[in-house]
Amino acid sequence: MEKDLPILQSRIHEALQDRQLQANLEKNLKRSSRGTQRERIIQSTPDWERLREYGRQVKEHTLGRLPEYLEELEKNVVSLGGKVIWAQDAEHARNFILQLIRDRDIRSVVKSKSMTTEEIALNPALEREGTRVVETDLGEYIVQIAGQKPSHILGPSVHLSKDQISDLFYRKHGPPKLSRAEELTAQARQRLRQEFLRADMGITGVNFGIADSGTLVLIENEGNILLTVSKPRIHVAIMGIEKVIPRLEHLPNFLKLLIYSASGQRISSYVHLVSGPRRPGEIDGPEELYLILLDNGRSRILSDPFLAQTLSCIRCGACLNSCPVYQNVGGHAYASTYQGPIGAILTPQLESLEAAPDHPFASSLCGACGEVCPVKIEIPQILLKLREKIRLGKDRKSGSIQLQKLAFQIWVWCMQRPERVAGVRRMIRIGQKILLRKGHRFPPVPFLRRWMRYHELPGFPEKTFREMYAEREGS
Amino acid sequence: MKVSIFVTCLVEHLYPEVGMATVRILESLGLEVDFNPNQTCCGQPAYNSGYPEEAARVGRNLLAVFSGSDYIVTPSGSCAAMIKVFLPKLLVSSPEEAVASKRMASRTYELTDFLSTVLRTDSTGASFPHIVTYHDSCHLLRELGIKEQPRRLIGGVTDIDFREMDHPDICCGFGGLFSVKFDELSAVMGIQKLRAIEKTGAEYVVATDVSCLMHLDGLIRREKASLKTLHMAELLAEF
Amino acid sequence: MSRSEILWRLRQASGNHPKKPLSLERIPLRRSDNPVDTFTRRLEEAGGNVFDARELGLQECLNRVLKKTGANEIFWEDPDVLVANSIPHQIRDKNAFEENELVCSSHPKGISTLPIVLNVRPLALRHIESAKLSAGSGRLAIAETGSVFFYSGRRRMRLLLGLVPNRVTFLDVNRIVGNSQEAFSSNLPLRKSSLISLISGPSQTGDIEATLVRGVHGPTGWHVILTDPSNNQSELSDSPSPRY
Repeated sequence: MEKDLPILQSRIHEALQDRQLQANLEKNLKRSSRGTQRERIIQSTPDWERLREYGRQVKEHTLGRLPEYLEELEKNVVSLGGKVIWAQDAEHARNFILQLIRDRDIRSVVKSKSMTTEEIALNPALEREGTRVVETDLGEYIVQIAGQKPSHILGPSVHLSKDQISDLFYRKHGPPKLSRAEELTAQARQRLRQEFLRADMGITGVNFGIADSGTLVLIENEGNILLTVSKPRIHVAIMGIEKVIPRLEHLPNFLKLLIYSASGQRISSYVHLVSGPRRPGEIDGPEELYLILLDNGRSRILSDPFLAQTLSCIRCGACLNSCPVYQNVGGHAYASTYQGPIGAILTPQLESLEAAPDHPFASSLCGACGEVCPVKIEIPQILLKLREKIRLGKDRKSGSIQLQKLAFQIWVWCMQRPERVAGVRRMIRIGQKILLRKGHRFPPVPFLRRWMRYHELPGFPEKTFREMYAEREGS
Repeated sequence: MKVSIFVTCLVEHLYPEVGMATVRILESLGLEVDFNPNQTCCGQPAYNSGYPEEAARVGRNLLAVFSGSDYIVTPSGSCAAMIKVFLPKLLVSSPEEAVASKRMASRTYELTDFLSTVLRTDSTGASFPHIVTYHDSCHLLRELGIKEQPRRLIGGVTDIDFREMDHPDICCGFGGLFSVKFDELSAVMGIQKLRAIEKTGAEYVVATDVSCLMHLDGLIRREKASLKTLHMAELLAEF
Repeated sequence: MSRSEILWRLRQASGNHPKKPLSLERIPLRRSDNPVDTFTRRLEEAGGNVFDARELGLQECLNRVLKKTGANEIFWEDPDVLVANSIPHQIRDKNAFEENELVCSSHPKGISTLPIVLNVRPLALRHIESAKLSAGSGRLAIAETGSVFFYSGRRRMRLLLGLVPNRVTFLDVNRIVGNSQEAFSSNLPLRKSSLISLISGPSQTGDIEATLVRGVHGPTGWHVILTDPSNNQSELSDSPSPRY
């Protein structure tokens, strides 16, 4: 029966049945202290709600003037000696980087964690080109050598246990077999050092692009970004166009919003402000800086004033961490670059509704995501809007959607008058009695059958409320 | 004080005793309760499935039903949220309708909110000598911000042994359409809630929404567990 | 061309949006009563070490750092570090001071006396890779977060900061501001320094079973020595005026 399930449902089923994954999610997500750290620091921040409103407003304002701010950013980056490339889609972005690699004779690349590079499927393209690509963020390095995709936008290896990582390192690095997190980290540190020193190019994402100064803000804890922009002679930074913020003075509040929400830290170990390539006379740093502004569907999302708030996302991961669906199935079940609640709203919009028609339905609409979002994206409302769009979209003529629509039309007709509801109820009672006599307990209505896979049904009450109330009044 | 009751379709057809308990509580506090038989549904099932127009067509009927009501009380957090938060956004086909839906929204209260905030009472005189835990229904908690009111009322029940479960605010997994489309996941979430409840040693789990309770109850019966579900109205009517 | 295409699309798209001005509420900032205390507390919570030269004296602080790190050499990012923090020093061969050379001092048995004697070493990766302790100056710091700013510059090397496992930052306490708003409204030399890094403790990760591990790629040992050069007169007398 599971084979007939749409792809998302079957991946969710696999995830729920995967005992190792369930144990890992329990330990790394549900029981990790990250959630409580976030709660603690937010509780000690009396102005948190005002900060969120600030974040929402700045983002809303910026999105309303996005072309102007991007032009300002471009002008200032260029004035600092950087180059700006506008990439309308993934292919353009990849091709630019590949051309640069050929032109500059780039043999090896070090990368820091960047969801935009996942989005444009950069690594496979570089590898096909024969370029050595090494992920330097520990979580990304782990999934890279495991041949997997990241499963969380901040903690790419959250789906793996320490033992699995230990086995992985042993298989890929050779003996000795290390078992402690400190040892495994030290081994990665030692191996990656050489990569930072030999790489010709460093590729990073961008957390915030500051329009008025042309500064690229890169946030990290490990120090791999620092090393990525130290020795390699070229720095390529790929930024989704929605990541721009107007002024440097906005940065402190956004740092709080992002970092408190992501990990509950007061600040990350490193916040880097990159302003162009190295200055003449500076002793190290990249000689060239390329900022790639990536559209890839974002301009389309921008055109709907309500849905545009999807682009406010600052990629903190708090919605993932608070989502009971994500916590139970992990990131791979989504089979898309972005996972969790933000993935559920971004994927159908960035790609197409038809590419991810079940993502917006994989939610009980509990609202935990909207509650934690530092920039107040109304994720549950967007999920509802997408549900509507899917049903009105390209697949609207499909059998199942037509049937569902008919069911709701009947339901509406019924609900217009209490007498109609009473009539339907009488029919159900009669139908139930007939079926009982024939030995069936309940009608083989599809949704009822699904319900009964896991739930026992209680009896259908003899009387409705209004019948009981009327009797009481009568007596 | 006159109060109109909005029983909600789930309560009316599947849990009528919850509606009767609500009436009993309000009357015991000296209120005059009115039940307008023209009421059917607030439109929520359609709204959550991506049919906002259909939801509006159904929810619109409530405007006439409750046009003369000063207070509308309902034993459902999610239906109260529908009326208070979402119908005002949907029912805007004319300026008059917009005004009417806002007015209806401002006069609607979920039961525990009404008792605690409007009537300012923490006790209905109920007595319930059992171990009880409380589940925060999502719409009640997050759309309406109602968290303390139910707890205060539970605290006002004599002889009750109230124990909080770990993370009472995690979704039970029902989510309407979600429980059918993603039935396995919905059941997993519900079972996790049952495990959290069991840790408290509670005999009863109480909530303000029969949708959550229906889901948990179905899972409990399948497991043949001894835990029992109870609606807030039923608890508070134990006098 | 991609640029005009994208801009055209964006203008169409944002044309639908009601234009919202940026009239932002000023969110009140908490002022800490004692920035130095707050700075110390926050940095120590994050796994850094803070030594106060105003109380312990410069020599004692340096010795503690040397002991903690097991280093017997210090690689100075810039001789200016010693000047700016009034650390008595001596350059062995003033003429040998080429621009792109590593400046170091040797302390096989800790620091017995000041002034610190500076040597140079050719700028070769192998020296940096084998170094245990580098030293720099904090040009600006934030109390609220226990952070110090690094500005890249003519001599201030990123690789020295990033590769060497321990770093000691001399921080003039008068350069500590209360919170990040103050820091980012001051005139950060964004046009002069292509990299300005705000550093708030040792490098760390939680990528393996959410276990906190300190010491990943950036420095594992993160030390700050608090100074107050404006008050520091006594030890200056022997230093030659450092001109090179």
